[in-house]
Amino acid sequence: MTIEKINTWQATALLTMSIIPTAILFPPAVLAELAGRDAWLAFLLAGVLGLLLAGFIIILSSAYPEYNLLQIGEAVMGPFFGKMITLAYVFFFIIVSAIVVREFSAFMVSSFMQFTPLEILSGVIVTMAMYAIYLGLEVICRVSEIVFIVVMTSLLFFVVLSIPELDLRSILPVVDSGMQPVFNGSIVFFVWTGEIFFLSMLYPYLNRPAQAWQAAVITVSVVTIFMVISVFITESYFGFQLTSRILFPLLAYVRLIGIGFWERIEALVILIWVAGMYIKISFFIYMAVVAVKQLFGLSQYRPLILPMGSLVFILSVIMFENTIEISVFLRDVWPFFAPLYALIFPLLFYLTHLVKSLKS
Amino acid sequence: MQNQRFYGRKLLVLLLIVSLLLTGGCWDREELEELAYVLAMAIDYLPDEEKFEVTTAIIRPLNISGGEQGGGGDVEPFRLITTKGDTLSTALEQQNAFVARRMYFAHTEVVIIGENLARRGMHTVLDRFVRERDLRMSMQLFITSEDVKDVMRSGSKIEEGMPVFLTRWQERKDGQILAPVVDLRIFVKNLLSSGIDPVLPRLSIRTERPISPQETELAGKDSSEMVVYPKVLGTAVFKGDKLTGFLNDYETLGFLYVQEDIQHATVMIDDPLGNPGKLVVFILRNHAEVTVLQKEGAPAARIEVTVEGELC
Repeated sequence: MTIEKINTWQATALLTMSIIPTAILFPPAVLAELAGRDAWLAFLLAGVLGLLLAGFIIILSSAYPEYNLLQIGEAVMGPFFGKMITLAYVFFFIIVSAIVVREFSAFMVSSFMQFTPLEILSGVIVTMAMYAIYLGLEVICRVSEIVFIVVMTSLLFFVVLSIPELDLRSILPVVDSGMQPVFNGSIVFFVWTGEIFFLSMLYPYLNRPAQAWQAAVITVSVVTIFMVISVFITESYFGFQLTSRILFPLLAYVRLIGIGFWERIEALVILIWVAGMYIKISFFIYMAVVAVKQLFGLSQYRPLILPMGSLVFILSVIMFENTIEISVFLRDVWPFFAPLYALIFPLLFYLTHLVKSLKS
Repeated sequence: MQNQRFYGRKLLVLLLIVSLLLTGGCWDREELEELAYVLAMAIDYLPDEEKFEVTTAIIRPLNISGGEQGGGGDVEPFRLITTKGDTLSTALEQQNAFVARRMYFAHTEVVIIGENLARRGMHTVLDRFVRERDLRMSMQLFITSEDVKDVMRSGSKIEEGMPVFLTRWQERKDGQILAPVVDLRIFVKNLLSSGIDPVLPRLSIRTERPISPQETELAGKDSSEMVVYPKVLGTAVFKGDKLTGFLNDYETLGFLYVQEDIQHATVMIDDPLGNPGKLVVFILRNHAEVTVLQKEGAPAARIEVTVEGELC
């Protein structure tokens, strides 16, 4: 089997598409609730944290350019602890994939297809994702290139169309209730900007590893800038109190956009969004599969795709009772769980690496 | 022989795929002709019966699909349906008895709220509005002190019926100095913001004797009958979600000056040279500044309005 290679541009597209599609669902409302009219500051702060994390991840990966994150872990932590941490990552990737699949189908059901069973939507997208994973990372990357252009164009349209509605007075006064709410909000969104740590899973496949920082900086900046703009839009349009009460504020906003007599264009926006979501789900399940392959030292990951897909599908259905539960989970639980994998473990790897290299 | 079996299998697979096409279909599909488009809604609370009463104006499908054939005597583009219920949702549910289609609110542009309901508190209906999947936050709200059914029944001077009149009213750019333009989004936003209480335009009716024979014909009445027209004039003022009172047209004008919402309007002034008669100035720009200060211990506001315009 030839070794798969992806270029910097593909990595950028893949990483962006693995953050934005769910970032536009729950975070605007959750951050409006936590940080009020300073939500934009919370997004910005989370973006800065994401950039710092990206820098650190690149430093870690460039120390072991041949290895992905889990291989680095096993190399520096030794076989036992290495495998334990890989096992933890397996759980992490399975759970995060299930959450993302559920976010997708919950959004579709609560906003558009009320009477369609959740299982159908989850099942369809997971089946399609399994096919993409079967074809390999390179294929996912090439699809994400196309999807990236389409999604970003539609988001750009969305931003330009909303310029007349912007009212920057809606963010005044800045930080009137102290920095604490801003920190609370940024912790929640750090889950999304922290997903830049997936770069370490792609690092060995990059054809020009020296350009990895470009992919990271572009991804985090694009996500952060878009979220800051969208929070400006929703908060100046609805006010932060109403924003925090709407489940999907950006959708509520898109519903109101009309270009001349072209009204209700949200169907088009959703069509494009589903494509982005497809990339995200494929990439997440791919990483879960790769983690299991790594754990058992298998030579191929293809036999694992079907069981992993089924597992993610079932988990996505049974993990939450309803849509509000996802929102509460993402607000109260996930921000304290995800950074363990995005930040703490990589940090542990790097410190161990430093100690080891000092010894020798 | 082997070849034949191979083709047979291929054909079978092809047949299966083709037959799948017939069973397919979108789960939540919605056909245009299976929907009842609610153009406008009027809601009031009946204190005696403790019930909500809702009147919807539903577009008559024949008028749209039939085109020319629909003409003739009956030109009414929509029909009104009135039902009652313990809540807004149950009242709307009752409408299904009269409508053979799914009530579709995505194109509802106008909602008229009766005074009784507004005084009781808007929270009883707002939640339904904000949650409804199809409803758009851009629909216009109006308050009326009249019987909401009379308002819904009223005609219009030049538009095809009251809902169209109200839709056009909020869309136009000039002459909006008689009432504020407020949609659901602005109302809820102001309701939830601290320090701001919402307002709504006031809708009332005027009964008059038909002026021209065409007008009588348009209303479908004979010439001795009176015709009813809606008019938007004045402001309904809320404290929280409860209606507290109305501003008349003069007070509304002042309110709109402070809100910087005056557009394409005129202002009448005395001639600065002291000549007899008045000057009328067409307003191009309107700027208001509100400063809060303390006066004898009590908070007070100083309002400064600057208006720039041209003679007309």
